[in-house]
Amino acid sequence: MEALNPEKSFAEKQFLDSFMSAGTSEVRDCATCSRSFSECENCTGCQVGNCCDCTNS
Amino acid sequence: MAKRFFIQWDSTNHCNLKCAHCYHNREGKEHATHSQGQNLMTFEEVKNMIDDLEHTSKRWGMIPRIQISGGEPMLRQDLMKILDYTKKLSMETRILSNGTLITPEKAKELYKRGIRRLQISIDGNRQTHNKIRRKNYAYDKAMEGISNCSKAGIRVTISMTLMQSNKGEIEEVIVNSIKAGAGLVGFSSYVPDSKLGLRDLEFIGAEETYNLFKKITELRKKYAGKIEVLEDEVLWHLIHEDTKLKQGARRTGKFLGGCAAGFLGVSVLSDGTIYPCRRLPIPIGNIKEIKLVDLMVNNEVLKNLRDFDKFKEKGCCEDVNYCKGCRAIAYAVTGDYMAKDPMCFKQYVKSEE
Repeated sequence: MEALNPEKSFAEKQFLDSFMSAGTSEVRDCATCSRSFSECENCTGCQVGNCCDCTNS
Repeated sequence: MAKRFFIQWDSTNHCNLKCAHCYHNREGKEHATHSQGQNLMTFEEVKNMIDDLEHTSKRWGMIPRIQISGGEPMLRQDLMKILDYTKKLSMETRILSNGTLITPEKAKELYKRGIRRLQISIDGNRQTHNKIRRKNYAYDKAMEGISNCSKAGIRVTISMTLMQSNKGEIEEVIVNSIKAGAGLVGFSSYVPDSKLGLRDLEFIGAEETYNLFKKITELRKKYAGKIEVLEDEVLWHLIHEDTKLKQGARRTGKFLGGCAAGFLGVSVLSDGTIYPCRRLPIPIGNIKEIKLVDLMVNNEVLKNLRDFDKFKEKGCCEDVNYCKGCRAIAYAVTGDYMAKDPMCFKQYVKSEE
């Protein structure tokens, strides 16, 4: 396998943009408590609009 | 915020149980050969895969996670050596097990190697679970495994696959999980055998699934504080309120939730074959031959799974990019992974609104 080019290709940037663009960052927090999903130990990073604590409380 | 990028890895096809609904039993002769261990990835190949996961996740600003499944992962002879390596990298590592082989000593060994969360499958009460597992010791040993993990400091998630033969035992599973010391319980949809499709007698249809989900919501409230009842299958999105996240997905057309296939991870079999999801048996490469960056960006099947315009739900569901349905169930029933998820119960939710 060849070593990866450290520079991202257009296609790679497009792939990342499909779920990570800055324009959508404001909605990637818990809809109830606004905590970032990354702070939730149970978070699978892809599931519900609320963090597990809020979902289960 | 950083999302997780994951590999769910079948560390071995070898298993001490013979579950009726196991995908290994459905995948024919080729995979039966794998069960003999002839094509197992070597430790070096596993290490390369873990390194690729680590590098790719860092490149994308994501958190790497490896979910080690099987077969039964406790039967992989170099499991502890692999866990030593993931611990060295501080990689988030989860084990998906049948629980029957986790003795108090093994639980301590897992904890020592950084395992803090572990999933054990329980598919009903003792009688039903043993019947599905085709071993009369399976239930009691799994319960011991849960207890041993819990005592060692590992938080256990119980996973129950909902089928016709166990749908009446949801509360019993929750209660017994609490007794055994589990911290969480979640429910998976049954993927029908593709040879049978909707004729698979264990398959639960859309309306009945909706009713079961409502029942689970009631049980979540009833047992709050004793166990976390997870609502994390994709179709829960149809029940959850119109959140900020859901509205954002509708507004931007981005993937902000729902089925992760095509976006946030892949499944790797014991011989290195890659599937988009463990339940969607479409080979898209081999981890020994391709880098994850190249795979995720350029693979045609994964590209399709990211193209919401190609989903058959498009035009009749405004939330297709927030849910995506289950592509594996669509594939098993119709042979087309872009077909409408036959379990989608949105029409029943709407009729109650």
